[in-house]
Amino acid sequence: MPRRASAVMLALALATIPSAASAHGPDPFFGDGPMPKDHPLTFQWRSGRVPPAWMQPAIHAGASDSDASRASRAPTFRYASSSSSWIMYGSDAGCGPGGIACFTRSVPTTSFTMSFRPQGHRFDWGALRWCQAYSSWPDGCYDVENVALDEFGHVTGLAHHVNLEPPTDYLDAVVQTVSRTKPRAGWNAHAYGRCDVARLQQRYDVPSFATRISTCISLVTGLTLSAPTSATFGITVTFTARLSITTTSGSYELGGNWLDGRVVVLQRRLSGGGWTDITTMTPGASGTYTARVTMNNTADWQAVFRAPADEGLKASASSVIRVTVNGAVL
Amino acid sequence: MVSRGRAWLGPPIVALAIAGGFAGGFGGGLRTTDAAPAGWDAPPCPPAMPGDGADRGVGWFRLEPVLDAEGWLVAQEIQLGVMGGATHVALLDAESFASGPRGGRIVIGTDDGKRSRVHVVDAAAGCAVEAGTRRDVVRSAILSADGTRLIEHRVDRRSRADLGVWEVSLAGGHEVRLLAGLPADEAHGPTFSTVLVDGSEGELAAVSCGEAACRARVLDGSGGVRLTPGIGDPIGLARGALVVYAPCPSLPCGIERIDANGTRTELMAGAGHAVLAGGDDPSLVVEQPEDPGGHLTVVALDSGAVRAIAGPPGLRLQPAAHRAFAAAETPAASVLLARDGRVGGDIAASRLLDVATGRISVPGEEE
Repeated sequence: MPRRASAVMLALALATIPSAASAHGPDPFFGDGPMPKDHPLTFQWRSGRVPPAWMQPAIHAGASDSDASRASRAPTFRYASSSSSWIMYGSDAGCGPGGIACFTRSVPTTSFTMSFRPQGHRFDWGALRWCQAYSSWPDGCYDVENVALDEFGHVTGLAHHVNLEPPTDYLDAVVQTVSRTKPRAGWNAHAYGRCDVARLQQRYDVPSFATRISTCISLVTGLTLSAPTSATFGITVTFTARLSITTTSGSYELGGNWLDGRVVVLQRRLSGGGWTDITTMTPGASGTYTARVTMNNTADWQAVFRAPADEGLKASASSVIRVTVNGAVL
Repeated sequence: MVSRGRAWLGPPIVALAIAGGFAGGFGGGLRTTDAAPAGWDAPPCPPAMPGDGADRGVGWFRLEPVLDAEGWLVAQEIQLGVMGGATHVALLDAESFASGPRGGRIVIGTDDGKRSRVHVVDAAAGCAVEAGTRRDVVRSAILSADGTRLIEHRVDRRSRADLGVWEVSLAGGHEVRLLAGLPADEAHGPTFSTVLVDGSEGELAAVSCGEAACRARVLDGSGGVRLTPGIGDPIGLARGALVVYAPCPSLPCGIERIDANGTRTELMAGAGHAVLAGGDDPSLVVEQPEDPGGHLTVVALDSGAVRAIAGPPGLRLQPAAHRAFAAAETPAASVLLARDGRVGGDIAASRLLDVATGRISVPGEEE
């Protein structure tokens, strides 16, 4: 292995043995931790081992796919004419005997390497075929863009997804132990799967409080509600709720984040009755949701966040506030 | 995107050419070609060559991919020789391998799409003895310790199904199947590569590696086969113990010892390239990923005792041939360090490191 390659390697945690798991969850993460948030990682082609012209655009596309689908503050990838990180075409001693591509990463030096085995490399099962090497992509070929995305995912710190048995959740991750060839489902995925994204969000945080949380996780949320505890009949009162992610062992960088742009409902309970939705609160910044309500009766009030189908957030409800209405005007 | 209207027919069978005094030129990158190489036929060795016990010097080889103008693998170039001697160069088919050296001999296999041919090459003389032609595809082969037999791994030419591991006598070609083919399973996926490993005491392991993890089958010498799934690629066999990486996607990676009774012991976490050094006290020699070629870590295989040893500055530990695509014959307790971790690029710069004494010597001059 070239000297430069190992100079940029540091300890990775052991990856998972590719056995099936009974629990479905985010991809495992390497033990040496994440790269700096939003760090722009550049790469150059390795001198003397430059990927062929038909492969380079797909590698660039894989880098763009990573940027576009990270939904987190994971590093971005960009080609540069000079960089401490490189991508090569050919067999690298750092790769085991089985891989079609491989990588190294160094968190302290924020650098990486990536290798793609050459078109036609012989494995026990036959000759490696990269789809992009053909004008008409044959069945059994590997999509360079998909494989590059898998490798860029590794560079961010993602280890192989642990699939169910049978792997009905294969499409939940691009960073997979076993790559798929055309035309098997997932062979040409060009965006991180929800379980890739979940781990990236956990370890790198989200770019904004409005970013949707991956459904591969299920985070506890917290909701507070404030309002005056007494009001004059007919007066309009402002209810203010704040929605956030509760810090738990599974929240990592997301713990304590406000949640913007979600749906929070204000509910009322009259004496002896049940809860009734009164209004959907107006979302503001920093997890704030407000509603203005004219007071007619003494009642209990609470804010409710219902678990959305498209996000990995659990439902929550605020504590109950009783607003006593005084001085009814006849 | 390119259009491919033809299949590349491949080069002739083994074609050796002497490049005496060759120095440099193969270390800098991929070699490209637009046409099938013409090549030369290797000269035949004298009949007594295999297993004759002659001292042929410290053999070495290095494989380099040969690409066409569009980046397709069309051949492999092998450079081989003995330290201090001439370098011989040959073009092999794209489906080809080399193993050894053992006793100055290198096993070379090359497949032209119709048949596999296996040769035992004298690294010093550059001559070859044809060790057989097979209709099946010989994916890899190693020479037995006594030099009289080949251990071959084969796959079916059409289906690429694993046909198992075979022992073939160099005298007469009598063959026996040692291990049946190993079908793919869901956890490991299809087998990408099967690595044959033998130990100093006659042990043999066939390690079938999927895209990310391997299954080892160890022959215990009495007909028993021990299957160990969920491991990484092998580093070596010693005293009945198989030393392997964990199934990591890349290096650094943990290394464990798997004893004959199945007990698994982690020898090191976060290891870089590693080599198993034999001798009286077999040990694992590991390159530190953060400090390649500088300081090596030696882990006693039996006790797990760890110590540091200084490597020659500027040189890298050469890993097993299935990773390095290169190998050199080393004394039992020594490891080889080379300019880029692969012998052949700058042969004169290669050094042997005696793991027991820490002595650094020039290969071929260590006596």
